[in-house]
Amino acid sequence: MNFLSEDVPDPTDFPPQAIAPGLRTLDGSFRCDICGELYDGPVTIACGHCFCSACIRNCLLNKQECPTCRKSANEVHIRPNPVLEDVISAWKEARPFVLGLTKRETERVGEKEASRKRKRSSENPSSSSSIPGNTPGPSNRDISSPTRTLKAKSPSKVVKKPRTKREGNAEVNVISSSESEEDSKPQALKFAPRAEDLVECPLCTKKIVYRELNGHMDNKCKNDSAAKSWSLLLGGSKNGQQKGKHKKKESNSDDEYPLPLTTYNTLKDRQLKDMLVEQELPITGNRSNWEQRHRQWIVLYNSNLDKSKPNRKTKADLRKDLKRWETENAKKKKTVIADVKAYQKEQKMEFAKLVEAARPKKAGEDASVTIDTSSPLPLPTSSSTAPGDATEITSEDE
Amino acid sequence: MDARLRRVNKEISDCKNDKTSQIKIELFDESPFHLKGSFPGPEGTPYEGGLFEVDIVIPDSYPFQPVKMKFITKVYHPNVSSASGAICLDILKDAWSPVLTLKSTLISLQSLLCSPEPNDPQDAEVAKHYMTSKSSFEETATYWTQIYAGGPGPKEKKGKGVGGKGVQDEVAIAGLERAHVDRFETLGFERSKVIDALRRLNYRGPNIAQITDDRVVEELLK
Repeated sequence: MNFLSEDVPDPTDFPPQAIAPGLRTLDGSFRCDICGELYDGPVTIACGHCFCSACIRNCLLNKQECPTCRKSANEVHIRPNPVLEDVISAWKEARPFVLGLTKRETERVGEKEASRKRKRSSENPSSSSSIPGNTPGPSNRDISSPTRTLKAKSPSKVVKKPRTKREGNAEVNVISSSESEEDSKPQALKFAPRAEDLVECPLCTKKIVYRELNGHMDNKCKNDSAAKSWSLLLGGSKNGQQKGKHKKKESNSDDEYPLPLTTYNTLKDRQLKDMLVEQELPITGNRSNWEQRHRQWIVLYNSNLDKSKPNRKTKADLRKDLKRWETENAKKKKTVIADVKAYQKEQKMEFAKLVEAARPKKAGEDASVTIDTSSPLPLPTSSSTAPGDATEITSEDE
Repeated sequence: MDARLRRVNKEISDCKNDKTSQIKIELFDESPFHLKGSFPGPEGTPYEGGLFEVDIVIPDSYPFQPVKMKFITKVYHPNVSSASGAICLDILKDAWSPVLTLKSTLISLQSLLCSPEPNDPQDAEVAKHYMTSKSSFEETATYWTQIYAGGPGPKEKKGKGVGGKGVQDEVAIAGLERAHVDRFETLGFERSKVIDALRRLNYRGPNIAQITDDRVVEELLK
């Protein structure tokens, strides 16, 4: 029972539709249908359905169709969904807070109900007047304190929520300042660059004066000495600001391309080993281990690329993940029978039952029939001293 | 906690929270990968009123491989083995998809009970019975629901059926007519053998005209 009591966050953490409309559905729609977790590196495929990158990649290894609508799908259809990724990281932050709010809200509603009942039963004017005054008070105080702490972390993300709550003056001030910041950024982007403005070269992402950009690109991004001096002159503050905004563009210019899927059947052991070495993966185990390792590495590596750059793991971390996956897999595969004799003793009743069940079918015929029917049992290789029916069967098998 | 365990955990709590579907999932023992599902028989079918239990085994590579399900409760249905409870359903085999859950699969089983597919049978004898005489098949299925799944039992219209409560009628279980069984029993054959042979021959409805007594005796002497 202990695995059930373990707390795994899922949509049912939220109260049902009647109490908190939409929240359960909202949390559910942020979750991958395959693993049931909040999307980790969300991607879309040709039909428009969305999954974690690693989940759908694993799926497509088995069958080339969308798990939801069964339209045909392929690795090459996978496109990252950075907008949803941002939504998920915001929701990850907001979720515990919203959970806390709903919990308090349901408690408050419960109190109100209780007080209403009390009022109805006692008809006492003094108690009824004191309750409406009391209940909003503490709840307001409770709400405001976590809002402030959250705001300190990320002002832009919680902007809308406190506004609807209509809280104190200090709150409003914080909001307006963060809002003005937000507004100023997109406005700056709207302006077309003037001839002397510094712009980012779309190829090499270096800062180039706008009027020189065309020449710079024609020269295959080599002639950038002028631009360098300009960017030095204009100082680092502007540079630093722009860096954050253009992170996604930079990732395109990196040499991080997804690895292609391979059919291993046609490869020789040597080639397969070389491929593992090339990816700096261990070459322990047998050939099927290598194939599985390489296949899983491609899934891990490619799905990592589908995440936006700040969310990506390093190759070293990915290798650790691969190792964990492999040890887990090995554990699952082995049905370890530590003590063969004890196992046979333990299962003796089971064997006897199966033999008994098989017998009446062809009653009167020789015993070989019963042995035939029970042979697909997962029998451990037995030693000769094992008792009863089990010995009989295994010796016949051998 | 690995991903598979987390997903199973979520699916169980999802079932617990959903009161409308009436589908339950419980643990057999400590193992989270061997579960017992149950659902009520669908209304308007011979299975109405029964509670059907399903043995669920979650494979290592779940959810990328289908769950293994079979009926614990005995079911008289063309796509369910009447002996082992094995189920013939595409989503439990090659049509599995990782977005399917334990709950949705159990709902599929429930709807399989609504719409038998005798052309792709798991239990050929039951399927033949279904094809030969649907009404006779439904009578038998209702009887099975009553004795194995705790169903309300048939409307007492025909005299056949159980004499006293708790006594199982082998003839009704096999979906045969008592008169036929009695006839061959008087020839000196064992009752259980007669039932066995008649069931194998699908001695029901319009089929009876096509099966000669000699054929039956031949089958009995086998």
